[in-house]
Order: sequence, then structure tokens, then C-alpha cells
Amino acid sequence: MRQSFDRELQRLQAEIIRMGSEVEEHLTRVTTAFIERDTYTASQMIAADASINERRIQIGLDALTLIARQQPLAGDLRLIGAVMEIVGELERIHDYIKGIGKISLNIGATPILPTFVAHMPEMAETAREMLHLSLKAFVDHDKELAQRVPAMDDVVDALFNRLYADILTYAANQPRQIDHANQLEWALHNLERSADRTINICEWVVYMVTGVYHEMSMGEYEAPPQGRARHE
Amino acid sequence: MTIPASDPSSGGPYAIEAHDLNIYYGSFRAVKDIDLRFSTHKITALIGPSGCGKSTVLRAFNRMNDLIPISRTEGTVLFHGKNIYDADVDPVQVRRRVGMVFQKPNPFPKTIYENVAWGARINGFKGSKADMDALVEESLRDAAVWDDVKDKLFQSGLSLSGGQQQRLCIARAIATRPELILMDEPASALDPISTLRIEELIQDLKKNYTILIVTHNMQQAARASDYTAFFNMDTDRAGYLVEYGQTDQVFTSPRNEMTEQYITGRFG
Repeated sequence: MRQSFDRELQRLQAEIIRMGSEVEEHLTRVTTAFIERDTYTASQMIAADASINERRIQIGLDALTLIARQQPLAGDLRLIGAVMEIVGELERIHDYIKGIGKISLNIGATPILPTFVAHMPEMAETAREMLHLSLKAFVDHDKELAQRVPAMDDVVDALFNRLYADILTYAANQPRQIDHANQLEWALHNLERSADRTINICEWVVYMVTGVYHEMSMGEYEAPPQGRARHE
Repeated sequence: MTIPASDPSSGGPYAIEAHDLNIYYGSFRAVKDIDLRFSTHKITALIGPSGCGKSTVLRAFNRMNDLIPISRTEGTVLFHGKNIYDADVDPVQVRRRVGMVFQKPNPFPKTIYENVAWGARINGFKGSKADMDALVEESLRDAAVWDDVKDKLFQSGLSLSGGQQQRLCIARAIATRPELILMDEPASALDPISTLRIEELIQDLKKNYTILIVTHNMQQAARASDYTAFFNMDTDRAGYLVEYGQTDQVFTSPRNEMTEQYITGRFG
């Protein structure tokens, strides 16, 4: 009776997963490129943003068409609403990826701080894992998982605070490198915001499943998923 | 008439209430164990698959089921605190205060003016001709059909389009100054524009009336109502109330899985 509608809903979810997987991969690649001073890959990640933007618009338009044609209600409506929000979050996360790529190019040949080499990959990996799990929660309609993911942001925040302190020390000791320190701080900020955007995705997944939107701000997280990377 | 007069200052939050309502057609129980209270000056949509008893429940509120010889009603329907099924209540009096609009527009084969004046006359209207003219105009205006008919008040009501006829029937219903208006799929025979006009009209009418509307159109229920009651048919084929809540909640986050299944088109 509603086979074509179900097919369209599945296609929309598949598009989100496809786009999300690419964003995940780019998060890792842009960070690696940043650490390794790989300007070629950084440029690729910047260029990839245009395609992500186009897909964000297409998925949004497809969702609107589905609303117009099927007039969805209840769980269907919440799913399409979540898709429209999540696709926006993914697009914004990719903007941060593009931002890190641009900073990479700005920094040019200047070597980055060793502490970045030591800790930025873990920060990026945790943010990527958060994104991966939030998309898994989306596709599985797994409320519990969506509620647990935000706690992983503590790891990202702790690494952010540590690296930020290192940047301040560096800038204090080498006042001529203020501009470089500032660039590093922005790269750090972009990574940290990516994880925050993932929390928004989790909030929409919980809404999609339960019908209740609840902001998962600091201090309200459940325990993080077992066996996931945590900063020691 | 033993139902207390309408007094807005002393009126409770509910226009009408059903308690333990069971309605039978012969030995067949059509609806069972209905407990529902309808908020005053609100629009409540009654939805559910065919045969779930929603129209039967609607008709219980002005004793229209009494007109079906084999029907029998158990339980109470409280209107101003009085059970309208008590032996000392005249069903005709109930129907004057609880008006009804049907699926198919059914104007009388009389003039537009007479269609509306009839409602007032059976309600014991004793004013002058000028008073009646004013009442007819006011009712037609309230029913958003005055501009369509003001120049042809003495033409047959049957000369109007379907949407205009339905608004004429609403004018006829409100000419008796009811407190509650029951609508049984009032727009299902109308085109989309006429349907939207009826829905707009319903929104305007709730300032003065409490409205119960049976509809098969989910979008109409979602657009036009404040509250929604979902009925379904049980294994014994008796209709029962599954979920009742604010329309926003029912259509975005229904509490009952069956409601979810129905409004998303998985059955019914």
C-alpha cells in the first residue's frame, strides 16, 4: 500500500549514510594531511566541499518533495524532519573539514607543534567515531546509542583544552609566532565544533525515535559506549 | 427540558462527556466502553478506519442513533451535567442545542432564506420579520456563504454549488444557536478549495461553538482540529477508543503503536 513511500524513505536514509561516510573519511584525511603537511590532500578536501554542499541541497529538496507528495505523519514525519536536520549538520561538519584544509594551506611549510602531532589524530579519531556511531544510531533507530555518544565529547574537549594550553604556552614563548599559533587554534576549534555538531545529530535521532527533543548538554550524558577510545 | 440552560460563566471546561458509552445495533455491540470529554470551544477530530464506530459515537451526542429502531445506548452522555439519555430528556430538545452537519450537503428544496429561517423557527423564534432577516444574514455570514448568496436569497438552496450548499447547511445548523456542532465528514464530497473553505469556517466557528468532526482525511484532521480521538475496531468488531490527545501530539508522536500504524497508512 505504501511500498513506494517506504522505498523513498529508505533511499533518503541511504543518501544520509553515504554522505555521512564521506564526511567521516574526510575528517580523518584532512587531519592526517594537517599533521603530515600534505597540502595536496588538504586541497582535495577543500574541493570536495562543493559536492557535499550540492548533496545537502539535493537531499533537502528530495525530503521536501516527499513531504509534498506523501504528506507524512508521526514516525515518517519525524524521520524526514531528522533527515533534513542531520543533512545540515553533516554539511556544516564538512565546512569545518574545509576550514582545516584551508588552514593547512595557510600554514604552508611552517612545522606544526609536536603536541599536535601527538594528540590531534586522537581528537579527530574520537570525533570521527562519534559521527560514525551517531549515524549508526540513526540508521538503526537506536535511541540508547544516540544518548551515549555525546559523552565521548568529553574526550574531544579534554584534548582541545590540553592542546589549547600548549598553544598558549607556545605563543607566550615565541611572540613572533602568534599568527601561526592562531592558525593552530582555529584548526583545533574546527575539530572541536565537528564533535559538537555530532551531538546535534544524536539529539535529532532521539527525537526521531521518541518524538521528544532533548538537548544533550554537558553533564546530562549517559556513560559512553563501552570499549571506545577515551583520553587517559 | 431538564438540561440546564447554557451559562458560559458557569460552564465547565468540557462541552459534553461520554462515560462507559456502549452502543448496540440489535445484539451487535458497535462501540464499547467509550470515555471521552470534549473541551469547550475546541475542535476535536474523530478518526479511525471504516466500521470503527466513530460516526456512531458522534451521533450519540445528539441522540441521532435513536432514529435507528434497533439501536440501544448504554452509559451516560453528560451535557451541562445532565445525562441526555435520561428518561425525562426530550431528544428533539437535545438536537436543538447540538446541531449536526452531514457528509452530503442536504439543503431542503426551499429557498436559501427558508433553509436558514427553518432552523430558527423550530427553535421557537418569535421575532419580527426584520429580526428574522437579521438572523438569516448573521447565520449566513457566520457560515461564510453570505457573499455568495446575498443577491439570490429567494432562489432554491439546491441551485448552489456543493461547497456553498454545505456552508448553507452549516448556516442552517447555527441558526438554532447550538452550543455543539457535530460534523460527519462535512467536506468529503467537496473539491479541495471548498474543503479548505469549510476548514477555515470551522476555525472561525470555534469562537462560539464546540465542534466534533468525523473525518477520513488525516491531513484534514491534522490541519483543522485541536484534539484528535483515534478509534479502532476490536476483534469482536466493536469500536473502541485507542488514543485521545492534542492533535499536534497525535500526528507527530502518537503514544499508541496502532495509532502510528493507522495514520501512516499501514492499515485502514
